[in-house]
Amino acid sequence: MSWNLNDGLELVRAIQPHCKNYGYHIALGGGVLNAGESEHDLDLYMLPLNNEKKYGPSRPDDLVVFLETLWGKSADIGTNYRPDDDQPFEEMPFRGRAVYGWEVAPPIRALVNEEGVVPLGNPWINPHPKVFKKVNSTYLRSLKFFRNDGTERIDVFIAN
Amino acid sequence: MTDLEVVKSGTTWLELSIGRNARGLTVHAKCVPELETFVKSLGSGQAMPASAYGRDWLPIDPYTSLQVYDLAKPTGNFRLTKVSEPFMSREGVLNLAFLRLVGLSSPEGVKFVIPGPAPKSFVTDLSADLLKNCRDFIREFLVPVHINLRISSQPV
Repeated sequence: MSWNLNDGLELVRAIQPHCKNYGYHIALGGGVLNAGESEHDLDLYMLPLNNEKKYGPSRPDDLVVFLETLWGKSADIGTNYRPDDDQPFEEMPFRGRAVYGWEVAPPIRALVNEEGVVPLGNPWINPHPKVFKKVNSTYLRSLKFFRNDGTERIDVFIAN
Repeated sequence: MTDLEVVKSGTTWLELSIGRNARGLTVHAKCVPELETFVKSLGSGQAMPASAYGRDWLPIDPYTSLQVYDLAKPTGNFRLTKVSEPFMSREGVLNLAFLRLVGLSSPEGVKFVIPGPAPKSFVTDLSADLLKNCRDFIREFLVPVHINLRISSQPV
């Protein structure tokens, strides 16, 4: 389900006062901010208030617990996992071009392209392992939430 | 408009009116104060706007906002977690989260709408499911239960 600027603002205004209890405030980002809408997700950036006198120290772990009471379990962005399913994807659609298994990490058991479902052999031997650069993230946590039967995605980036 | 009443032991615990019109599914819910107090006790008692949870419940009056109590305790087989989501999940699990609405026990109750198409057969089936599940919920958690235990022994 798509998101637009009104949806994003309404959500930010609804949870902003509560996030302050954990020492954070929220900034909108991604396609919803830049283009006014996004077919994919809503990006929220949690920034520490740095005002211990008024709000106490930032509590990122408690903030995550609070967000999970609203939208259900979260998962780290980058993991091939949807909390609603309670298990990793066994199959992931890639339409439009053939994709070699070793281009995608973590491993998946089948691919879908124009030819239909292409099963991948097991054990899966990767002749050209891809080397990923280690990135030092600005964010303490990068989480994805799926709500409303998995049809709405919210990405949350919690700054240190 | 379908009117539903959950009556237990001569008390009307919950009144629900469900209707379907061009806006979607309209719901008018009212309950006894004991039910709202019980649902409030399942969390910290704090209220949050329903829009923080999702986008599927809209107040009938656009100048008001729907508020829901937070939830921290499990409620067994009854799903109270899906605030601002449809009554029925894709897996066919009924959503009773509307019981968390603030003001359900006020004289006027709470009215809201769930936008989107709602076939007539769906409304009929939903009414029957809601009646059964709400009755079960009240029976499970609210109808008073009193058990006396006496442990005795005889001198040897």
